[in-house]
Amino acid sequence: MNMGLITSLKARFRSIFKWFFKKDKMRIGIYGPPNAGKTTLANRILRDWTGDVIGSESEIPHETRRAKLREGVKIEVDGKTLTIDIIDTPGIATKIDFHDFLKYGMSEEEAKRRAKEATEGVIEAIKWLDDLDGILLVMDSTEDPYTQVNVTIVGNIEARGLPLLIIANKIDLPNASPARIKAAFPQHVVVPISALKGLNIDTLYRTMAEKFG
Amino acid sequence: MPHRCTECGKEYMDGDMAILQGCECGNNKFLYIPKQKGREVEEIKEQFERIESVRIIAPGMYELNIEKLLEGGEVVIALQEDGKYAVHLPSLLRKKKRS
Ligand SMILES: Nc1nc2c(ncn2[C@@H]2O[C@H](COP(=O)(O)OP(=O)(O)OP(=O)(O)O)[C@@H](O)[C@H]2O)c(=O)[nH]1
Ligand SMILES: [Mg+2]
Ligand SMILES: [Zn+2]
Repeated sequence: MNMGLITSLKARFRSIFKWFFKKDKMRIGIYGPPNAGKTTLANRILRDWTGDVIGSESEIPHETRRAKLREGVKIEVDGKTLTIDIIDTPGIATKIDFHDFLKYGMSEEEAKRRAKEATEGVIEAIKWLDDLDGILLVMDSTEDPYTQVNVTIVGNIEARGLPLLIIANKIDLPNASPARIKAAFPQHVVVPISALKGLNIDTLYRTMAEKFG
Repeated sequence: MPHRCTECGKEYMDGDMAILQGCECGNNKFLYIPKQKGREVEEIKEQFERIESVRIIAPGMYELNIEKLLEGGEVVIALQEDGKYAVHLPSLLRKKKRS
């Protein structure tokens, strides 16, 4: 059977359906490779609009190992309100090796547990895709965006017909190149931000309101 | 192909999340159970259709087939026992002979 065809047919029906029954609340998933700044962005959005945070940020990859949901976040742009549920997801990777965690001073046992939880986290993140109405895909602007993970996720989101915004994060760093991300995914809207410093965040909210509102 | 817990003996099929999470008894080492002769052809055919979505290279080392996972359906897990866990005796002996 042609899974691609079925997926795209499903996506088409879903988008037609949505046109008629436009939801007043959207579920937005924050996706991307480990360390891209997904949780930092989720915390930034929540701090700006609710005063809360969602999870811990860390330089150690696979800090987020369970998806976290925050419901009913109201974002106001130009007098209009966009209400969304936000899901911060574990970083998606094709290889997870406990050796990579040892240099952060973890014991071998701890590192192995982290690797196992991170693997389960990837599976959980991918399962969440079935329940979402839009995606914020976060990439680190200082890194090569043309990776298997990024390309595969973008392709799958396209096949599902889900609205997608690509976030070029970490533009506060001197070697950041959001243009490289735009060049890699020219068919998509790319919003350059610094989730950490809050640079260009208002543009992100405005773009989210346009895309998901 | 079933995986048997080395501690309590409980068996799990390919794709069972317990292989990742560990057995009910708390142990997380599993052994492949050798196939029965008669079912071999059928199982080889099955193996071809069930590409693994997660491969356990060694404890704490995983390879994820993102495309397979994104397709949905059950998560198929493979334990790679040869090379990492077990020493292949004949090849070891051959090397010795040469040097
Ligand atoms: N300079 C800079 N650093 C950032 C920015 N956003 C995040 N970081 C840093 O990048 C590291 C990873 O951030 P996280 O938010 O934990 O990344 P994540 O994508 O949630 O990572 P996982 O949960 O492991 O998948 C942390 O050290 C953050 O402080 C940014 O805009 N600029
Ligand atoms: Mg995180
Ligand atoms: Zn057991």
